[in-house]
Amino acid sequence: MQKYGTYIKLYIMFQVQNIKSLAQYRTDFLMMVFFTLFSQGCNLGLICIIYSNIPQVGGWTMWEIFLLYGFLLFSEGFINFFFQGAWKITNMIHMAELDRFLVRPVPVGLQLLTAKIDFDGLNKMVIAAAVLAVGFGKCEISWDVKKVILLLVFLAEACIIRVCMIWIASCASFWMEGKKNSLNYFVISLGEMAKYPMVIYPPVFQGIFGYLIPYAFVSFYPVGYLLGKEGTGAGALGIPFFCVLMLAASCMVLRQGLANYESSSY
Amino acid sequence: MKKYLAYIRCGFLEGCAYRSTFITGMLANFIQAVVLYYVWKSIFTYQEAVNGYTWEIMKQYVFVAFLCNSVFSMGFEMNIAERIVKGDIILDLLKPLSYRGMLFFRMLGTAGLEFAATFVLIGSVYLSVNGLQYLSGTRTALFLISLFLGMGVKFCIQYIFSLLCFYTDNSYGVTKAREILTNFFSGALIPLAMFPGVLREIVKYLPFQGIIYTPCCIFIGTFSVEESMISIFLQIVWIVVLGLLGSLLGKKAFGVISMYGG
Repeated sequence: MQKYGTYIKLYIMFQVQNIKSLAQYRTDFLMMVFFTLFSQGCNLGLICIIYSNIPQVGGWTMWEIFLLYGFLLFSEGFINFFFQGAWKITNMIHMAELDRFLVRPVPVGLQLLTAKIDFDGLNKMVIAAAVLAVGFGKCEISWDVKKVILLLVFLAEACIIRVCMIWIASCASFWMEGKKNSLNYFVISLGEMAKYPMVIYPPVFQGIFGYLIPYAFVSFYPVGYLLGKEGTGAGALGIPFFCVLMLAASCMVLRQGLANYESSSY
Repeated sequence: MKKYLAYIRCGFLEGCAYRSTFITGMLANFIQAVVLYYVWKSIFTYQEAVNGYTWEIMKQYVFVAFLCNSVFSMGFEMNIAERIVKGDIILDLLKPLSYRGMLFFRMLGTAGLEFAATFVLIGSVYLSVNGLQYLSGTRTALFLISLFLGMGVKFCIQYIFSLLCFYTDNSYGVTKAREILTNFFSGALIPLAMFPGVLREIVKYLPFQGIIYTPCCIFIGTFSVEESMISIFLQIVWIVVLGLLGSLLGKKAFGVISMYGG
């Protein structure tokens, strides 16, 4: 148990160092805040424009769609801020920077996760929280203690599942030749599908993005369950299961990948 | 002219070399198109028409917009920013040809490759969804002209944004902002006719509609031949205006750089 306490301490220390390194790009940070606000505004504007013409999509109102969006954006911001290192693995393997990590007496996974920080993530989480607050305010949900706890658990689970997705996609670089691994970008782009309720897609797509790349468990099932939509109860029960599965898969991929790793440096 | 031809070839080869970047970008766009396709599909099961658009028209719009968006998709802002930071930009400026011309012909080469790849993909999807029934010779010809001019408008906008990189290091932010701005206002995501009142009026006076909305409307036949001519003329006007603006700003921006070595 004490071992994990040390890891958490180390994690915090690494992140504090990362934050310090950001101080040299102060103007860029302000620009990023502006660009993020602008782009998220455009994305939400698009949803508003679609809904200004019609009352509902697949039985979901605009505010309910905002909730889906909020879940996705929050988990994205969470990765950017806390575990942005997951994006860097590809580059590290290619540049043989991983060697440096291998000789340190700290778990490689921890070092990889803290390899980078993106302050923009904080920004995204704040926007997402605002979107969720507005969304929940407009949807009629009878709140009680159980539901509040469920909401927090769902959000945490969504973040875990998404970190694992990026992690696994990035770790594919261990087996791929060449510089580029576009799988993680592909996984992120697929998130576009999770912005709308899964019921509008044909069964094949539902299968792929519901189970193979479990985006349905990031946004559709949790939000559906909170709103009391039909047919989401079983899915909501499946979320913790997928969470554990993804975590196990991530650990396995890292272990196998490291066993398979051949440094490209000399 | 021969000098520029060399750059077309160069751009083409560059496109071949960085095909994974291009393919990822295309797939990301394609996913968006597929998502929009199903969103609209579910919308049209509840109602016949939305703002004059029926499911028949929308089915075409989604895919044609995707085609227009994919051609010329690679932004060059990041590339230029990198060259400015490294100092290599000076080599481009010293060459005995126009800097902008060089960029343009290089993009043209890449665009040729992108067009071919996207055309095969989207052509087959389009045909399997819509069949041959909506195609018409004149409209297709006008569409191709308009698509080409749309590329011109997009190039001018990208060029102006790339000049911003002379003032800031944040090329990622600049690129993202430009991408979102063009995607939103060009009609890549949703036909501009569906924009609510005021926004619709504003969009009319912006150059972005020439990139995607105009060629799309010409192709699917929402514009009559006469309207098509007018909007093609508008595209040309915008290219001239933005081109002049680009030259003006370019002169200023090139004066800003100071380099150590290079």
